Amino acid sequence: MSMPSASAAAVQFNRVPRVTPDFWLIKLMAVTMGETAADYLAVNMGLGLTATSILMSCVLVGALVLQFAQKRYVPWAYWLAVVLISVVGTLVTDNLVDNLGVPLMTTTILFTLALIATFALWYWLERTLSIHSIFTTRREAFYWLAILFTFALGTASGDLVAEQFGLGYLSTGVLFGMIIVSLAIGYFFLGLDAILGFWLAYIFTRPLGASFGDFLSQPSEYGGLGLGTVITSAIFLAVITAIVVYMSVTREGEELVAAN
Amino acid sequence: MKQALLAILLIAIPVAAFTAFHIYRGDASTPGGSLGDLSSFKTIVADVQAIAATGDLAAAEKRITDFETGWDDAEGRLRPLSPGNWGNVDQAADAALHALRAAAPSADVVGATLTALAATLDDPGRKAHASQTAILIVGIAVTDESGHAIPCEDMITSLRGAIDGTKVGAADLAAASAFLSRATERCNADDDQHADEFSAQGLALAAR
Repeated sequence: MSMPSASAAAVQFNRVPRVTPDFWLIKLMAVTMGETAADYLAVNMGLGLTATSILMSCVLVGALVLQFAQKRYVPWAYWLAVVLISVVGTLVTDNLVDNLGVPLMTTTILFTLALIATFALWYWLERTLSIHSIFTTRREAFYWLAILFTFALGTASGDLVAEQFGLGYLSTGVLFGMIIVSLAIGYFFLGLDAILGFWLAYIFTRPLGASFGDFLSQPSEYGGLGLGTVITSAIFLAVITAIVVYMSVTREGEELVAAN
Repeated sequence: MKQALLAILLIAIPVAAFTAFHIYRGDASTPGGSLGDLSSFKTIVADVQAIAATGDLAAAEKRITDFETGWDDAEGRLRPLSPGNWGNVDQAADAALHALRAAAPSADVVGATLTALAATLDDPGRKAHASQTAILIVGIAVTDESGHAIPCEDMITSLRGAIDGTKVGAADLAAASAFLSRATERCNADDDQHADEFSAQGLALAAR
């Protein structure tokens, strides 16, 4: 796939990163940061859900314009977009559930269908769902649309398990952790398709990250470590920044695509 | 197709294992996981109710301290039996304690919280109806007609407004602010139900 030997004109950059262990680590952190930031704006600052949603959607559009303008993978622009899409994906679910009273079961099914439709259209138009050859704006648009829906679906399914079935965040975290381990076993040993596995893991790391964040920040009275949202967010921000700097220096996520 | 089946299987296996483990442990939130004999606690609550009915809220507060001590002592034994049910009772007890220990306890609020506590002790699995307890506690709706929790962000906004505009004394104001921060914390954890209960209690204080 990545053939640096191809002639310069035919070589393009993949606009999204390769999937490495630190990709998953930063994704998990970004998810939690995103959720904490949304909560902070909506609740602590008292902006409310609707105002926060409008504000964050505008910021997201700005970040996506930056990301699309790069035409290649640049860690800070890419991960900024992921953090913001995580916020907005979460807010979409929160709005449907809290403001419009749509049951979590319905939103879970709705976003599953939306995600399937996105992939179907993506495959129909591009004949591939590969995340290693995102080198046109249309493919990148599909990529980010799929990511938006995975975050919304991850939020809905995570909340569904935590609230409807009455599990605490620790149990929820353990459950989604087990699913991810199982998918990893499937990918490494049982021949699970890399693209299918990637998107499934992408969905389930959303509730895992949220549970992990709650576990760190919630008071011990509710079974957490009691670090508080400010310290938890600071820790996550520091780790994210460190990884983004590391990625920018090593450029390990970059990938060349031999375009036809 | 084979891939889809493999994916479903890979998700279903951990879910099944997890569910089986929870059922085996008996601490899934599904009814069951009894807390055992709670009659000693019911007796104390009945006493407190009787005392509160005479209007002597100070004596009622003294008697509910026995509940508090006994309940805290039994936590290690009771909580593992059914964390969900234990939490329901604990929360109802907290509400009653708060009501009795308010700077100027209100007989109505005390009576309502004690009724809710007695009902929860009779049926600790009432988590689904806990919001109804909140309606009883302070007469403020925390759910819509379908029993769906009101968005905690909205309740918190009302509580903030009430605190800004209130004319109650410093002690009540401090207590209402404390409820605001607890509600905020639960709301951040997407725990609308508990957040709304705290908000409602804060609103009741601020609106007095």
